[in-house]
Amino acid sequence: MTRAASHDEAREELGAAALDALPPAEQAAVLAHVAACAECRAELAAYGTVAACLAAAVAAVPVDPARRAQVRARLLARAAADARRGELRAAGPVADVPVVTPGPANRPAAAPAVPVASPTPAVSGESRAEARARRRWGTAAWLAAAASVAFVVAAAGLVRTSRERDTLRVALRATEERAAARADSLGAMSAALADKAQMLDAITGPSVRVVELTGAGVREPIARMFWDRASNRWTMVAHNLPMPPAGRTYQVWLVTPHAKISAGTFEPSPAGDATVRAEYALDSAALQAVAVTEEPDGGMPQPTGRMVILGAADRANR
Amino acid sequence: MDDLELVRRMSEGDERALGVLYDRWVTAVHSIVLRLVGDAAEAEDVVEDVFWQAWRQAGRYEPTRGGVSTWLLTIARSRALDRVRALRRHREETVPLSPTAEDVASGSPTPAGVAELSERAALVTAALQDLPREQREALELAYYGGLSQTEIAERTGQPLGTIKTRMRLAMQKLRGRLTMLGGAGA
Repeated sequence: MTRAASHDEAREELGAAALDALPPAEQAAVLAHVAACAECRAELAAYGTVAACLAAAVAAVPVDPARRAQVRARLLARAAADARRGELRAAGPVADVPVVTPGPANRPAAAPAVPVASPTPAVSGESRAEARARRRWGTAAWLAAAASVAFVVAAAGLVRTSRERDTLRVALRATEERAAARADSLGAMSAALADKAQMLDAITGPSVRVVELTGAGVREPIARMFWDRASNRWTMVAHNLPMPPAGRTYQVWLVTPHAKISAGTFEPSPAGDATVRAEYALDSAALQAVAVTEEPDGGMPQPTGRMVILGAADRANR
Repeated sequence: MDDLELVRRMSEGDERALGVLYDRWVTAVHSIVLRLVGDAAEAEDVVEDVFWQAWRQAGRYEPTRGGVSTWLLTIARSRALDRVRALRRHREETVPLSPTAEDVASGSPTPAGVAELSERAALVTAALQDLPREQREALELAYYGGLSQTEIAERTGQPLGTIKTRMRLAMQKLRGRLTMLGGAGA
């Protein structure tokens, strides 16, 4: 929220504010006060007119005639296309500015059609317009002042429009990225949740067999293999497993009388924990043991390395 | 047909009215834009922007806020300063020091036909010339150079407070002188 300048502070700076020459924060503070102070509104309006007069002091430099015609043709083509889209009428007048009965602007459109090529300025028309403007300033000075402030503020706004548009564009992009990231993380959470639910099913179902695996050592690795015979899902939860040496990994085996079937490779967490899951249909009588060996990275078709933990299936059979 | 009527027609989607307004004011708009932007090609671009904005916002023009010329020239300065600042950001260059009021006064006269403007130009030029040099400089750097008070202080090596005082006095004096233009005194 912009802090409004005090009346005295604002009054000192109204001339500079009309020139849009104050540092941005100061300009905003002055305009915030002006919005609430009729006296300063009138002052700023007066200075705004002074500022606009400075444009008139510039030496006239005509545009190159060919370029002038090009720009004119381009503008008219754009305007014609714009008018066809009907966007102009949709934009409408600004509602929050007081309307003083403008002479010709409210007249029914009985005036002759606008001549297309009329480079001669309507001097007398301009004078009439200026006379009307002066009259209105006299009879409705406060209204004019208020409106002029709106004009100055609007003009200052225009300066910022392109900057604000860029800022908004960046903000929109950031918002979209955040939304996308949220959708991603939501998807990941749902997936993780579904995964956990599936795992819970696989180790708590009525047809789950449990094989306890144990090793030898001071801090003994232990593991439990849950075999859900209904879904053929295998879930092994292990603890106290040391990190395998570089280039080596752990591999899980389902041992049957005829084969040692790989159930996948894994590495434990730094804390020594691991969860390994596999799906494999096996005759319920065939499982003799579950083993974990240390193998080269990527695993082997048959166990070749050191046995880390082993559990006999018959121990788990109830 | 006067400018008010042209703007009204523009607000109703009559692009021929924009053409007439363009023919009438393009030199004045181009002059202030070129003065601020300092580059002919950039200035042409900005001139098109100015009239396009006038077309798009014709429905919001309020006669009580000032004449059509004031409206157009205010748009022109805003668009030109936008361009100056954008170019400055890109090039990291400083804008050349603006010509002084003497340069303004010795420039070519405003085109015949834009009577109101040339009358105003003479008054404004005279009023500017009557300002003490350092006050005029502060005002011109702000209006024509698009510099903030802070930037003017840096450029001139003067304290910010001094620049603020100069600008305030300059605007007060100009306002006093220009009140006779009608509307400037509010």
